[in-house]
Amino acid sequence: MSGGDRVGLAWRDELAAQIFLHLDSIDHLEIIVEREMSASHRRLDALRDLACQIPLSLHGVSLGLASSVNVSDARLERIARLVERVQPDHWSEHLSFVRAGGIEIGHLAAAPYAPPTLAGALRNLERVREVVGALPQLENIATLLTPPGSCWTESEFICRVLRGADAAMLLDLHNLYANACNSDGDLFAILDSLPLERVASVHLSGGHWEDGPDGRSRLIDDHIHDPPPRVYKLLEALAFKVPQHLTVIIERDGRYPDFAALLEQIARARGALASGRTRRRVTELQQVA
Amino acid sequence: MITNPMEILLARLFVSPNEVERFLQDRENYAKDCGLAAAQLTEILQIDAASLRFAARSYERKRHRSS
Repeated sequence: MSGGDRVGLAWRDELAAQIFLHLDSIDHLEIIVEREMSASHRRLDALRDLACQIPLSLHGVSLGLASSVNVSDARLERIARLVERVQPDHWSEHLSFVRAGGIEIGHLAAAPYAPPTLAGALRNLERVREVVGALPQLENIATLLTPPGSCWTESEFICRVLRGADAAMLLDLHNLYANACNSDGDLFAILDSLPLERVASVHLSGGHWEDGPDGRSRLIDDHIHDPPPRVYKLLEALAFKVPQHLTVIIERDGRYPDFAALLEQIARARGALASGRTRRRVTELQQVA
Repeated sequence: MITNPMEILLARLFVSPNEVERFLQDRENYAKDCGLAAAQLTEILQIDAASLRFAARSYERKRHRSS
């Protein structure tokens, strides 16, 4: 593997036995925050023990940071307790809005890429820093609709939030791929427009194509299919472009394949990283020569 | 802190394909009901109906899958 880069899996209870059997082949595990909020003391102790054996991150899905709606202090305090208890390597959340006007969307959605959302996100992140003590790595989301009322692109919005809060990024390459496909955007130009110097972690997942009522096909990010080849190409490009070490996590939420297939995906991600790193070293040597 | 009315409108649309149809029948009044100012109505009139229907249905399926 490339020195310092790590490749691992999103923890799912369905995969637990196989994960333990193959810990030597997994560099990192990611635990969903909301699934552990009501965990027993014994389970939290087990997670803490696991964090001593392998780098582990906590991943939240329900804070709604990128919103004019204030993040709930009660949620933050629960996350703070979980972080304190498990002692993860880091934690992460989405740049999304999930509720407004008393309505819970039940999913990650994009609020307008505009000053009110930016102001809300920066205010929320400041509160997160105060209560939890550490900022989460911030993840880009998949969206099927450019939010009305936007005056920036998604990349411009992400740059403003990350730089404004001085936060690191969890770059979901399948979300990037899906948004580029669905908006007819230039995939690699969009990658270049992101604050790549802030990317610390990467998500790889898959999705499926679906026909819409207008006869147009759109790519849905669903985490129940294998990462497509273009996602590995993006990972290779990222490893070429940035010098920092990356933690890569493969996300799978259902229709689990044989564990051997997941290990193969880990190996493929390592291969993409190694290929990008090698190209980077060659380019650097050529520049010196 | 005041919630951006656009977020309220989007939240209403994203939780129900039926709400999307109500919205598409009378965008202007639906938007006003969510508290949007007149200056924001132009944005509302430009929302692509097919993409909105697709998004609402996709969210609904994902909610069912994760529940």
